[in-house]
Amino acid sequence: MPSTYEPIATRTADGSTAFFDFSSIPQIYTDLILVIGGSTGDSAPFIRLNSDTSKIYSSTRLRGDGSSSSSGRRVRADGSPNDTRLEVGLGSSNEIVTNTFHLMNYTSTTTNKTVLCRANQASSAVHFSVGLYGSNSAINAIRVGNTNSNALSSGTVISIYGIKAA
Amino acid sequence: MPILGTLASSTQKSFNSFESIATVTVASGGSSVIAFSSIPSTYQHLQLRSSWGFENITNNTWLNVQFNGDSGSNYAYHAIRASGSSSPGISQNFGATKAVFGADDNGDAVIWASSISDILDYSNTSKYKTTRSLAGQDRNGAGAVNIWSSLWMSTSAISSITIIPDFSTFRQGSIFALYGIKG
Repeated sequence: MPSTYEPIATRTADGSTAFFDFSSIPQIYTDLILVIGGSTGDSAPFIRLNSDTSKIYSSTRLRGDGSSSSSGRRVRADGSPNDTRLEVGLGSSNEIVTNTFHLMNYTSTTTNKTVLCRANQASSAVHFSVGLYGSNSAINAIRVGNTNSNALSSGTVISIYGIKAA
Repeated sequence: MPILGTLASSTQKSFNSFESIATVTVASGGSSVIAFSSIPSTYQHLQLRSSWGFENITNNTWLNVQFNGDSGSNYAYHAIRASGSSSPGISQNFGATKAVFGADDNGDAVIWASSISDILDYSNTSKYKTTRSLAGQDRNGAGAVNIWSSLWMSTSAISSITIIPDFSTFRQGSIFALYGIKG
C-alpha cells in the first residue's frame, strides 16, 4: 500500500510576525492537515484561503468548558472580520494550545470547501468546528495569523501535511 | 515538493505508518451504497476520510455504517450535535443496526459534508470494536457539527465496511478514502 501523510511545510514563529503565508500548495493530495501548536499570541488563530478577502467564510462550533457545552455560528457579511477568514480555533498568550485543521477535498473545483477543526486549550475549553469557504476554487494558498493582528508567540509551530488517497 | 516561503520543504519525508488502502469515488449517476471489502488485517487502526453530498434530501440523513455485513442489532452509538443554538443536542442508541460516522441535513449540491472516522483495533479478535468520528457541514447560517462514538459488539476482525445512508444516494464525486495506520 502506498504511504502517505507527507509533510509539506513547517514554519516556527519568532515572536515578531502576525501571520505566515503558505503558497504554491501542491495539488496532488486529497486532504490537507494544518497543525498549529503553541501559544498563538493574544487571540485565536485564523486561516484565510487563496488570499481571498471576500465575505464568503462561515462556521459552526461546539464547545465544552468543563461546566457547560455550547454552540454558535459565524455567518458571512455580519460586518466583522470573521466573514473574510475562518476563525474556528482557540488561542492563548500564555498556554500551549493545539489547533488541527482538516481541509477536505481541497483541490475540488466543483464544490465549496469544508474545514474541520479540533482545538484544545487545557485551562479553558475543548472545541470542534466546521468551517465553510464558499468557493469552488482549489486551495493553493493559506494564511495563518493572529485574529488581533498581533504577533504569534515565539516558538509556535505551524505545519501542513498532505494525505493522498490511492 | 517545494513551497514558497518555507524552510522545511527540502527536508520532507513520508511517515511510513499511514497508508492508503482503497478509495471509492462516486461515479456519474450517484450511488446508494459504498463498500470496502478484503480489508487487510495488517494495521493497528483504520481511518476513513470522507467528503460527500446527498441527492435530493430535505431531512437529516446519517452516514450509517455496518461491518462485515452485520445488519443485526449489534451496534451502539452516542453523539453530540451542535447547530449553532446554545444547547447542543444528543443522540444515542444501544442495540442499533448500524454505527454512525456523520450526518447531512440538507443535500446541497456544492456544500458537502465531511467526516473523519477512526476504527480502533479493528483486527483485534478479543474485544468489541470502537469508532470515533468528527463530522460537519456548515452552510452559512445552517448545518451542524457533530461528534460520534460507535460500538460494534463483535470480536470478529473487521474485513469489510459498508456505508449506507438512511435514504437518498451519494452525489457524483463524493470521496470515501480508507487508510491504515500501523502500530
